[in-house]
Amino acid sequence: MPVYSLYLNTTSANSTNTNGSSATWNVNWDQLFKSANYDYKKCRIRFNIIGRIANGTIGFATSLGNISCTLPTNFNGSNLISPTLLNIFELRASPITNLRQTTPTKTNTADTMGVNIQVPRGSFPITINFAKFTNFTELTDFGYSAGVFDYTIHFMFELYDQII
Amino acid sequence: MPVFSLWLSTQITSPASSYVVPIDKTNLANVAWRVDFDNLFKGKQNEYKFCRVRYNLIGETFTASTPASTDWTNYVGYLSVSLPSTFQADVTNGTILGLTYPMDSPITGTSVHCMFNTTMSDIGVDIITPTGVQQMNVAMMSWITNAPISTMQNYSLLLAFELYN
Repeated sequence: MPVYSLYLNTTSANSTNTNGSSATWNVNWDQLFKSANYDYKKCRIRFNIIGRIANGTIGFATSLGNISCTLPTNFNGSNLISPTLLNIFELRASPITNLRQTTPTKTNTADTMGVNIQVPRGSFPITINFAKFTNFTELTDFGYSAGVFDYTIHFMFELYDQII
Repeated sequence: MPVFSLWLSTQITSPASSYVVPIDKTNLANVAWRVDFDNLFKGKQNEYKFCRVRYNLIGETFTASTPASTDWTNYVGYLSVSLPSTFQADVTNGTILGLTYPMDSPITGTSVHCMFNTTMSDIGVDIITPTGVQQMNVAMMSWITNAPISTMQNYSLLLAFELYN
């Protein structure tokens, strides 16, 4: 049951994302898995995210919600809703005293059971979404120009149920 | 599924073992080590195909009495190990093992902030079981620049390798 990692970062210089609540990356999944994705039937996702939100522009009540990923329809985990829900999303106080003006967020599911998607094969984009807990709509405060929200996310994809 | 541990410390001035030798410590955020994996795994490396890697990291970061406003973000990033391409999935950035970020020091009054990150209780990340004597780079990369964290101080890193099929 091999585990492969994928690192995505909205602060990278070559990022063209303009909306932190819904950023999309093109991924060549065959290269990521070194073609092992054709040897397994199932894929479990876990992740670890660290983000920063600029001071004063984000309200706590409007910054709670969920994080999900959107894949092409046949790769998502559920038909109930379009994206695959990954976890609840919450704010944290800065771990560094005197630096609370930059509110970070940190959510980790690497030590939990994770969530399933269909095994990604080929090359197609993945979109990471942050949605409000009030009405399930995009966290519009997370646009880069106003309430700056940058994050870095580390995905762990566990392939299992080997095709014999 | 045996688990073997490897301890790396940038403060070692002379090798404690001929099996683990620092090659280049000029950049503490990208240190090269020479590791004899055959001796580390005591022959078990030939019995198992996959190797799950987890780590425990304690590091010293900025030392100013009052952190600068950019200090928190400057130390956010990821920890990766780079081995010859046959032993890892991603040959571009090395194998990314986890995210890193600084914390307050648990020692009151030192004004020395630290970095403590662990994935020991996480699922971990796989590499192909390394064999032979290899150069392994341990890098801590900035999420802002995607380059080694320029102001990284000394650290102590315990890597745990779980072999399995």
